[in-house]
Amino acid sequence: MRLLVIEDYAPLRVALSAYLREEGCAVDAAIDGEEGWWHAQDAVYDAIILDRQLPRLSGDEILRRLRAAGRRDPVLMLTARGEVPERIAGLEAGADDYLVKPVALPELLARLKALVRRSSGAVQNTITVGPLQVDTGRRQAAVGARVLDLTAKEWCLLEHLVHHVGTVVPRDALWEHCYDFNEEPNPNRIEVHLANLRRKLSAAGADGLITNRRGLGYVLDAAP
Amino acid sequence: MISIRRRLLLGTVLAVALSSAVASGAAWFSVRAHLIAAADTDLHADAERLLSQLRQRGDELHWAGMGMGNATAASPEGWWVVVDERGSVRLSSPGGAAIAQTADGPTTMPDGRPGRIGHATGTVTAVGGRGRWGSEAPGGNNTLTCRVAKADTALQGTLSAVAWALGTATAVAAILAGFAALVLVRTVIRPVDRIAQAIAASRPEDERIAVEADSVPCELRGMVERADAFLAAAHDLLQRERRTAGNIAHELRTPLAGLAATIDHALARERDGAEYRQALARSRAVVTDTIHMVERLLLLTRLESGREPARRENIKIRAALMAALAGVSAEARQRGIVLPEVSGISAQQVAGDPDHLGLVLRNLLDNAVSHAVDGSAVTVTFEQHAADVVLRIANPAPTLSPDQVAQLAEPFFRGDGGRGATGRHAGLGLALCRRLASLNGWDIACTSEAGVFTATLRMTSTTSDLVPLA
Repeated sequence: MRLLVIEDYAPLRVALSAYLREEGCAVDAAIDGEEGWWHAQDAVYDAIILDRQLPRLSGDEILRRLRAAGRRDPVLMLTARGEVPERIAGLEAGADDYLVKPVALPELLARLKALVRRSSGAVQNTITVGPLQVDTGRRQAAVGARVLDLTAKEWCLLEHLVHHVGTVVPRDALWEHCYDFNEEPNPNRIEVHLANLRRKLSAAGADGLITNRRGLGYVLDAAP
Repeated sequence: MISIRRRLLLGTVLAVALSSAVASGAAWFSVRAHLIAAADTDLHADAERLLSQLRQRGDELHWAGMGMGNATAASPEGWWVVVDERGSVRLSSPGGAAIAQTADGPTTMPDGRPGRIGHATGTVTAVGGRGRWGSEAPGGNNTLTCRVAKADTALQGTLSAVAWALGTATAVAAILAGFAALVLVRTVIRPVDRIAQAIAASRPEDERIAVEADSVPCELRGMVERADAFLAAAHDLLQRERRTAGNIAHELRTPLAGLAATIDHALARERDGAEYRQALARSRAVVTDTIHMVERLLLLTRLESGREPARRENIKIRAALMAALAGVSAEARQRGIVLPEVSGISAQQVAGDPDHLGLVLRNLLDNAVSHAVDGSAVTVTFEQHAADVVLRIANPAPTLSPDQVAQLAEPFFRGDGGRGATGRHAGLGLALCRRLASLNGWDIACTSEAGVFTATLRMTSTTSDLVPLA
């Protein structure tokens, strides 16, 4: 899951970004509105965590620009303004969810997952592809009764492919989804993680679910 | 406490009743005096008539009495007596000798009824040379007094009727006055009632009393306007209090969110000691910042409620400025911001509270460094204007609009909308500075022009040997 955190309060931004990274997300963090808007223009995110009161460019303005540009990235507004009119204003500005500070990070993560799930069109957390069952809520993949032991990057790749079942996902898109802005693009790392993922699937009895379409990308499908 | 309505009602009824009683009393005495005077005039006329008859009959006084019935025909209920100048009764009507009273006025008639006495005195000439009583000089003048007494039953009846009429009129007037007073009082009190109810129903949230301006009598308009002014002030105060409470909650939520996130992250999985120590250190930094902010909030509260005391001392600007510069030098060094030298400052002194000046200078310099462009310079200049020292702290920064500059002294207003990377800037600094300056008799003004933000602090000088600072 590729996320953008736009928060000017350093302690919150640092802790939130670190937590989300540890949960397997690729996180870009921006310290003010202008930097946030710059990131938002540069990449498509699975979700954006947006503070409302930001220096240089307000959260509302970023949201307005994003929607005006036709972008549908799910936006979770995280702000200290908790009054009902403020929440309504935030949601009406185009936010998909609104959380009032302080917030428990596990709850924030759960809401982000729900946002990503809704945006991908899935109605429930568990997605089944042939013998493979992927629970995006619990971040768990299993083949039959056998639970796969995946690294954060492997999970990230699988999660993205699962949300695009039957669709060829370019390698660049996989990179953008799983690595943040600070990572130097390196397609070989994607290859390595995908090879490990395919090996674990095969060992669990779900061989051939992920196939490589040479020059195009990768596809996850039950009947390749 | 008696209500205004009852007071007005009672007062009006009493006033009308008293006026009616006085008027009736005056009328009573006037009518009574008039009737009595008329009765006395009648008595006098009767007595004159009798004497006139005696004069016409000359010496036939003896017989004159026989014909007195004619003389009293007009007043058949009368008694009369004619006395000579010695007081001897010469003639009298039957029973008239019983009239022993010599003074005019009320009396009791021989038959026991109340009556009045009147008299007339005149001379009667005896003719024929023979007096009836032997003492009269024939042809001489005999001075005689005729007293006439008449029952005044009719007069008393008239007086009683008048008294009843006047009494009844007074009572009716009092009753009518009561009804009129009810209507009057209700009419007079209605607007007061309406205003009182509106005031009683008003809440601090209301900006004005809920009465139409046109319906307020001119006598009460001033009071209503004053009450409106008080209510508007209370409304503003409440709004400000709510805004402040909301802002405080908002400002506290953000560091609390930082603290909670740091703790949540630390507890998300098992970590080594170094990581826990790092999380604790970050948490401590957040707590320190929060304590700092709460202290400033408390100071602001004390200042706004007038509970912050201010000492009056001579303060050396140089020492205060050096201390304030030392407080921001680390951040300035880190960001390559050049701070002014303080070696050139003379021993200039100003009057005020040294702690407050320290806070003001620290806040102004802190703002200047925080908002200055990296690698730029913060400047401090002095000027002497008469007895004032003018200190200017300037830094390059994005230009603010005049509206933004005007709002800088408002608590929680931040020119750039955010709280800064460290979270220190909650928008309290300039609000505190403005209030501290005001408390000490200083003045702070801010300008933002052509990419330079300038805070000007004007203070009262206690010496005049200023040396400009580069």
